[in-house]
Amino acid sequence: MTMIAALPRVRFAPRVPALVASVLLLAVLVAAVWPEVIAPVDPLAIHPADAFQAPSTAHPFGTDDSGRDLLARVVHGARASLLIGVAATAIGVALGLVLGIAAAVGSRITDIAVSRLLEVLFALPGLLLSLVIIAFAGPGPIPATVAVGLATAPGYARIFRSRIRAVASSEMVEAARVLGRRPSVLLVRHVLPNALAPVVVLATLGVGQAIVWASSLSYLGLGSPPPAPEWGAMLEAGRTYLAVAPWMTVFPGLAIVATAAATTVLGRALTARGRS
Amino acid sequence: MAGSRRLTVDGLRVAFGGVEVVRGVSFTLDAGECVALVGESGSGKSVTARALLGLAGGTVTADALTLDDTDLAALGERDWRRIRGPRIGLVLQDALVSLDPLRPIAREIDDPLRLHSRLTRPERAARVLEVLDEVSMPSPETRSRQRSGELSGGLRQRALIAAALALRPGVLIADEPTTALDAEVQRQVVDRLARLRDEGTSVLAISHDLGAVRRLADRVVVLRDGEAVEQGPTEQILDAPTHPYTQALVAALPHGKPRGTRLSAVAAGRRNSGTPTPQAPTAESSPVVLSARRLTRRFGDFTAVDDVSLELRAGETLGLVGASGSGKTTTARLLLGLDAPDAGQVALLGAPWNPLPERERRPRRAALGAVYQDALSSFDPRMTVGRILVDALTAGRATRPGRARLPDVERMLREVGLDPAVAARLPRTLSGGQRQRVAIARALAPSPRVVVCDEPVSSLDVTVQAQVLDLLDELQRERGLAYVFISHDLDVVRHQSDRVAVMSAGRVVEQGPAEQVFTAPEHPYTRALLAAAT
Repeated sequence: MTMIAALPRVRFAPRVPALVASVLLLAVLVAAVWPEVIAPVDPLAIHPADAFQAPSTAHPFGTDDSGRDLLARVVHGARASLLIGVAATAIGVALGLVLGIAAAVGSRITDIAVSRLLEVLFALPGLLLSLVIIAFAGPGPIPATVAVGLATAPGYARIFRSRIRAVASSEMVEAARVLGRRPSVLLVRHVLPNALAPVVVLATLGVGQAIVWASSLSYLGLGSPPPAPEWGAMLEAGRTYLAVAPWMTVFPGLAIVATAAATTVLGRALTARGRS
Repeated sequence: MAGSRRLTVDGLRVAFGGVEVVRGVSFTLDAGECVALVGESGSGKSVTARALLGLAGGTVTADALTLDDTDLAALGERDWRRIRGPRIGLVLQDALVSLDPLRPIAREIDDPLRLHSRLTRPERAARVLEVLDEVSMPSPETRSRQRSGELSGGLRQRALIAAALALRPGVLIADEPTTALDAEVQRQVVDRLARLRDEGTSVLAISHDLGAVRRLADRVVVLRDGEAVEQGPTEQILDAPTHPYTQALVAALPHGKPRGTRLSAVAAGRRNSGTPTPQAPTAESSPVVLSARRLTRRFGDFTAVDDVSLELRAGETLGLVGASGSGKTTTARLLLGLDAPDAGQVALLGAPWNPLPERERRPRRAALGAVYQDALSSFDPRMTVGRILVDALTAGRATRPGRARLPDVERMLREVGLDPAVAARLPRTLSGGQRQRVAIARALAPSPRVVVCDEPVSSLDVTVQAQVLDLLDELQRERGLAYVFISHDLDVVRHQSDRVAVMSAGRVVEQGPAEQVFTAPEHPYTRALLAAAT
């Protein structure tokens, strides 16, 4: 302890990646809210004469097989991707919270039932689980969002369960019990806020993952239908022309990678700050 | 060899980012001598010791810093590696975190040999066993194959000493080697270090435990705020200190101070309570407020509390002593109703208390408070001191200190000797002593009749410990509180208690008036415990 305290604090710059990530996310956010500000061109306007144009000053990201401006499509696609990522994570966290609380503070039987259910869900890879759900619900952006949300819920539930149990058995909760607090007060005032704070950070990490998953579903044709500008669907559209027009896949792909990476970097930076 | 100068430290200064934490400390260490650096946390003891190993970091300057004939001040990192281990050994305080939990201790001890000696593998293995034997490790063959988690605190500490001794360094630095050990184990470790010193090793001991220092050190250097305020032969420093700080440090020791006498100067902030009134002897007629009858608690095959009966009367303090693992804390949890006994009952204010459904206990919880060893972890880390106290004052109905409740919070903080401005702070930004005062204020907020204090001063510096003990005493007198006072520190318990119960292996082996138990112990275990501590 003392020794660590005595060591000079090493200040390398973990803030630079976090800063870059923040700027990137801000750009994605602006693209999602006011896409017209960045790309005033209509992402759905077809100009067959301009098909397969390489990136140029007129079309910085080039054009696709119907001559649509790819920059406009990538920018307008941000809203769908971000919305799906955030909504899916929200669904996952909310469901995970319900299951986690039930397992952590419910009866032994509830705990066993929830924990076994989670283990079964864990046995299936997340994306496969989403595919199963879409097989029942049919394709489309909303089923895809729900599917990704449900598929991520078991992970959150596990974390919530163990966090809640750890906090519930802490000395601070014991001290509140000695003061005569009812279980409901203990849970709402002390256990949940302390158990959930770290998960908020974790959810930031989850948004990036959800965006990648939702794009994967769109790529498989199970998410947003064409011609809606959605990054996964754009990847799928460009796949056929990979040899002649690689920019059709490169730019939406970069958008997915950049957004997912930025949320992940930011999530990690937040986690690191939470620890220190 | 004996008597020759080993280490010379003259005008040592260590600064971190412009702030000097060691400000011109000078002392010497001869062969076969033990010098102790004493002082409170933040006084610069550990940084001074680490500067001698080139591990302090920061900016180290000194007029002279020599080991035998080597000028330590001129060494580069590469040269330091030839000093650390072979010539200066270091024993750290927390053996649990200082040993790699995944490696057998033989490998930990082998490391320095592998790095610094030319011994062959079998020679090194032999040396490991030899050095384990030197530190009186029982059955060294078996123990050497165990990992730190499989060893008790005392054995871990011995393994650490063995690792430091493997290369037979001429100088051994021991940083709080006995902290967190039971009295008996502490004595063994101190004896072991004393023997090393007698065999010619120079020992620099860092400790805030003046009892251990008295047994081990030839000379003492008292540090305060990075300066050596006083140094000299141990007896002289501890028995006739001249510097006011050393005097306060020695006065704060509860050893030999009868019940009811002050340990600290009158607390600033708290209203001047004038001359200490001696404790009124609790009449046998005062009502019993808390009683335990034949309590038993088992965990699997292990009986943590075995047939324990206790009685606590209004206004008195019942001390509970025993080694770690003797069942003190489990007993406290049973008394507090945090755990249900397998057999036996607890009664609070004459009515059944445990076992009882929590629902029926809850309305009466206000009568029973608790103060824990680690105050910080007993607070919700998100709540300010003000909110913690409002929560305790309003029985959990509110946590926001509105205008109406602020005066109550301020009154409570003043009562425990804290500045009312503390209300806006988070507990982790407070010092250890301040945190414990907040914990006491919280425990007293519902006006309890009984407070269970589990090692309330164990993690505090001796002068802060003195203030907290005095505070508990004053509050007891003013409010007629009854305390169950748990500690492994016999001096503290003796000073603080009217009656004492001695626990060993889950049983109360002896119980009676404190003075009687301490001066004329009847049970052999009590005698052994007392013998280890003196």
